[in-house]
Amino acid sequence: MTDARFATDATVEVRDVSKWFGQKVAVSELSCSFGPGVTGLLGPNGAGKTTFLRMMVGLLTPSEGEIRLLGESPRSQPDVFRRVGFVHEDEAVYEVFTAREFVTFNAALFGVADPGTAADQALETVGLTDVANRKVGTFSKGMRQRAKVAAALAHDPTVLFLDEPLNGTDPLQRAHLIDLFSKLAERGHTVIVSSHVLHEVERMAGRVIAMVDGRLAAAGSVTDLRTAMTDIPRRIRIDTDVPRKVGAALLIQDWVEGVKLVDGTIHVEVRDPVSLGHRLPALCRDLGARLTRVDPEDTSLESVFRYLVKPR
Amino acid sequence: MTAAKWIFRLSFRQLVQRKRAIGLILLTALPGIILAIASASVDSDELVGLFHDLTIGLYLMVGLAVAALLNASSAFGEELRASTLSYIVVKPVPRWIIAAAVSTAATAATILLAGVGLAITWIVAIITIGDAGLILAPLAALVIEALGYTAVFVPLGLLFSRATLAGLAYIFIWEGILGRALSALAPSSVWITAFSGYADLAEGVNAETLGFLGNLVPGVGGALAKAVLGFIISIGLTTLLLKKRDLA
Repeated sequence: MTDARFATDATVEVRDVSKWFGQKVAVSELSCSFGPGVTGLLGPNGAGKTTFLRMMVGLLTPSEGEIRLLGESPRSQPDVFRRVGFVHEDEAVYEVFTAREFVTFNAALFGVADPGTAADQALETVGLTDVANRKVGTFSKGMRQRAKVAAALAHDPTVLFLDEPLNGTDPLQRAHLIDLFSKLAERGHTVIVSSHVLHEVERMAGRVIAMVDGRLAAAGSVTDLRTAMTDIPRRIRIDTDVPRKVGAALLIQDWVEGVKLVDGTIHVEVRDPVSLGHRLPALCRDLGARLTRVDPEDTSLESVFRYLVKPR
Repeated sequence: MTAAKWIFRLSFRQLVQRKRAIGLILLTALPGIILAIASASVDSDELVGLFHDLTIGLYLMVGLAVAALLNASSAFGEELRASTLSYIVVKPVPRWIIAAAVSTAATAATILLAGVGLAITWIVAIITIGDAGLILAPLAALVIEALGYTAVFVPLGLLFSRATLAGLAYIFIWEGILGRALSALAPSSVWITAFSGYADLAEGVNAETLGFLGNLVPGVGGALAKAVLGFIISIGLTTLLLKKRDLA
């Protein structure tokens, strides 16, 4: 059986990589690889995704371990960047440049023979042709994101690193960019997209590497991750006019994992929240109880990931 | 256009943006403004001495030094702070080309901005003193000092997030106080090196001011060679930093 952490035809290989800043461990003993297609690098904020991406493009040196990008070390062989694109997380762009100058500058530094034409094509790809002569400093966050993507695409890279590329984009722009990344993947490019939003990654990535607290939490297809997540007990908060009565009734249900009553509020743990949604109204009706509030308490991605890395 | 030219163009444009340019031109034009005001009450013979005192004490030691510090320390420092450095370093461009292009842009920006300030002083000197030749000495010192301070402060901007503060301490404590008080330190001081070039070309600099040179013999050629050598060594050091240091 193959190890889900490693891709076939790997273009990016990561071996036992750790990174610490002083006492703080940002990435811990990561081993995985990336190949053609879209791979989602998923994890809550502070999971170490950005540090990991920055190491893969050579901006940071691993404290331990080794990274090979297209067979080369990104720190010592800058020539490898002829085939690599990188969109960083920050909004920062060169505000003195127009969008066309900004993308042309990037294309020229990538060694493209005709950077002006390449820039025009890249701007068209991301839908910024109309504003190509406007200073990027005047752009909205979403437009800056697209200008950054155009700058990273101008030389048609084999490997594309995208750190939260959909930040600040509106739904239409988001759909367009997701479609763009998917098409690049179909053409055999390696696209690595970091995000803390599961459903965004789900829409474009066939494979996911999940990180929590600098460690690899899970790897595999999105379906694998979803399956793992259904195993997690979910906490639901329930408010009713007769909390003791409803709490006692819930406690004896076999589909309930646990019940707590705190300050008149019921906190219930279930494995199947949808089933709770179906059964709870009938239960309350039978008890003559009035439901005032039913809310999930821990549906954040962070809690999901913390569960995934918890020793079992 | 080559990668080096693109990087030079970008860095230069960033360093000569309007607000920053106006501030640095005003700072370096202060000797001219003071000379214009003083010309109303000082006779023309004394004005030559005042011109030298102002260009040495205010232009070389303060205005030009601060302008060079701000340009050189922010050449890479601003890129690091704004997280834009990846646009330059995640590229198939040899590190020494990046270091050379950015350092040259910082020097050129300093020469341009401080040169405009100097031109204002020169115009005032022509009107009040009537000697166009006075420009030669400060012009040579401008080039020497811009090269020298760029060599010191470009790598400093890559090393420390508070490079400007460290640079101010260097200029005013190390060079301004210690460099003048201890004659053995004079050859290591950028502004005194620039002053040695100035003293070689200028006439009428008072003896007390010449004392700042310590054992250093005035010579524009030697001062320029020293500044160029420092600049080349600095490019090597910056290249090493770009290869070894974390850049985000």
